[in-house]
Amino acid sequence: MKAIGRQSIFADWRLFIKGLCAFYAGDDAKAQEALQRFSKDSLLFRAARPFIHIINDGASPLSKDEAKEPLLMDICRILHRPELDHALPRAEYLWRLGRYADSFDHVFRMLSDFPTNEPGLLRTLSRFYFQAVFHIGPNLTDKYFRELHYILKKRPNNDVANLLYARSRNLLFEGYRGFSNHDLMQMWEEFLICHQRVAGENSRLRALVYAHLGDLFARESDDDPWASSWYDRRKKKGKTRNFHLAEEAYEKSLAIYQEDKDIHLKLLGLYEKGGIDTKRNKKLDEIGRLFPDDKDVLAKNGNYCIERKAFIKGIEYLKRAVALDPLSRINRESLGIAYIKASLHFARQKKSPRYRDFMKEAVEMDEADPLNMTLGRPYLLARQAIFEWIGGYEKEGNQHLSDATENGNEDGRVSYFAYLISKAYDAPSPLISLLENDLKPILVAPSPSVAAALTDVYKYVQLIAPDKFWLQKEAKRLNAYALKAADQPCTPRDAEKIIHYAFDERWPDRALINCYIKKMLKLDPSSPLFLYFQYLYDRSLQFVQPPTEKDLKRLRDIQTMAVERNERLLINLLGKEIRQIEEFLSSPYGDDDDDDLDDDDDDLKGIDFEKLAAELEEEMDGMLDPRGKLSSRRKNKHAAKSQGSLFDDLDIPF
Amino acid sequence: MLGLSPQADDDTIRKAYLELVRRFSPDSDPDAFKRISQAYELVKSEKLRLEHYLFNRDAPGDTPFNAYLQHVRGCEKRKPLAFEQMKVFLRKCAKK
Repeated sequence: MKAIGRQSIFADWRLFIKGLCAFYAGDDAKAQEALQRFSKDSLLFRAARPFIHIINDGASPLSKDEAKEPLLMDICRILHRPELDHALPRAEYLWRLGRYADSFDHVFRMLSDFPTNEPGLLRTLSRFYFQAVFHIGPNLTDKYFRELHYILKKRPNNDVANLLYARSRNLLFEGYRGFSNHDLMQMWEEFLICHQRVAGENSRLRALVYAHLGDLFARESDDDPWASSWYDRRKKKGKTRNFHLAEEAYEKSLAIYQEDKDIHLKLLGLYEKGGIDTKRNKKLDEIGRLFPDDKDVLAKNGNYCIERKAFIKGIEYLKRAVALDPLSRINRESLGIAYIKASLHFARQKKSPRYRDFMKEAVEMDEADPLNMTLGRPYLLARQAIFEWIGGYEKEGNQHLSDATENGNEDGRVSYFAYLISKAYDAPSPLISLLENDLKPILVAPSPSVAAALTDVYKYVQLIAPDKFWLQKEAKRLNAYALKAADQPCTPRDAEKIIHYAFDERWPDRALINCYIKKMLKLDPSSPLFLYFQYLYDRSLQFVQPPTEKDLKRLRDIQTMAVERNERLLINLLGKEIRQIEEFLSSPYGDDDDDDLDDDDDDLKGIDFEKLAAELEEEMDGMLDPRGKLSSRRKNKHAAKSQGSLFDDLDIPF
Repeated sequence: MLGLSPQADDDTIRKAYLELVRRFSPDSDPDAFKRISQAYELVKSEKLRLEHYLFNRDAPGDTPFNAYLQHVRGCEKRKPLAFEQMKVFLRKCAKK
């Protein structure tokens, strides 16, 4: 551009042109900087406004007296869409006023090709209107959706509009509590018929819709917002939303498209969850035939063989799975567990060469992580020691024990692990006594760091040997130790571990929890984590009282503090809990008065009994297992079978 | 965002994606490049595509105009107004 001085009368025009050049080159920052410099009410200020608005995606603040519709019309022309200038600005205006359905209706009347599934701007707008229903807030959704329905009814032959509406409707109703599952299934099948009319047959799409329905019905029941805290909810066992419909949906999906391995595995998972072993076994065989070299399938088969005590076959499957993906931690751990189970089995049969070979292979794949109690070397050696004792080789056992505790046992975790595991494996009494004696020096001087380490071990062993009476007694000893240690200096990490452990107990030791919370809040009164623990502790004292606005405010305040300290995990956890409480409080059941705890007839007003009845019916469906029998609360039938059945629950978390 | 029909196959999608990233490269328009790449990840296989088409709930903007501008930003290159059109526009601004 020709050089024009700053004092020239054309200086502003130069700036405007520079701004336009940057705008069309895509350099928004430069364009904005140039175009924002004009004095208000000048020609160039008015000319620049639409460009700035485009750069900000429509988010520029507009002054009260600014004519908005003409501005938006200008934008349409600048973007070479003059045909939209009578539709979009008005639609925008109506939307911003909260007249959502009117906004849709206006575009629907003004643009003949709207709505559409064909790529382009009109498809984007179609998606906007039909998917805004998920974003405008629960109080406005029903109204908007109802009004959309009335508008579409006026032009009944618009198949695309009906299709888009049906899709959004189905997705919306999926989230409605108490909505009939059979109706949902039927609605999605109607959607498929409509889709076929609009876009022709697409078997893959049909299969995916059924798979989606399978996922929906196989999902566990929603968290109960009346539970006092997250740790209560964690303890609740999940029930599928509707087992039979989930099975039917998955089967329909596979009937259309058999090659989808994920759906096969999901159906298998459904049978596992429902405890239907015959169907599960049959499914596993089928998957093994269809996908013989798939690592997930090999791992499933391997774990299943181990469960049936076909150790050698199971280990072969798992080795193949690990060979296909050596970095897969889950498969490595499954293989490690398989070696351990096989070794225990053969140790009990006094077949020393067998268990020694297996443990040798397990140790070869050991992990350097000192906290990994499945594949960590000290823990594998501790196990090997116990197997040798069980097999009758005390000298070899003692050697392995010495190797195990040589390194990484400063906090006593390996010794404690060896002691607990020996009891879980029913090791000979002399060994158990020996290991208990080894613990005495560790437990003599209470320390929070040792207490925290021991809680890690306890929690791990509890997964392997749940519901053992001796373990409950052990918990009391551990609690007493941790309580004594509370006088000593403690890091937040150790306190957190101890509190988590205490909360996870079936009957939490409240004195222990309270002691450590107070201790840490005395050191740091604004610690969001321990304030959250305090909140959980206080809620746990209220038994089944539902959450209130006060709880919500308290959590929000804690979340604000967590944000200031950038504690991401805690922020996410609090966010989830806050959302659940908000959802509960905005539901018909959530408007209890804090002070009014009496049963009162007035509470019955406004409750939809039909909806409640439907919900109860759904719950009853869920309570019955797939064979139509009432499922028991505690399904540890395996643990009851034999004294030494360990690793019964293969789902050991990693 | 990729400007394709839901029925487009994997090859067509990949070609459209490569064409778009040539136009909106990470150097010239990193935001558009990121959006295009994210969109491609959602639809690069038939299964992903169909799942996105069937079950996605994202709204492409907060208001209709916002959706329009985001579409333009993601899918269309800005073209200058023709000279006569610019004259008409500037005259209109002068009259206000």
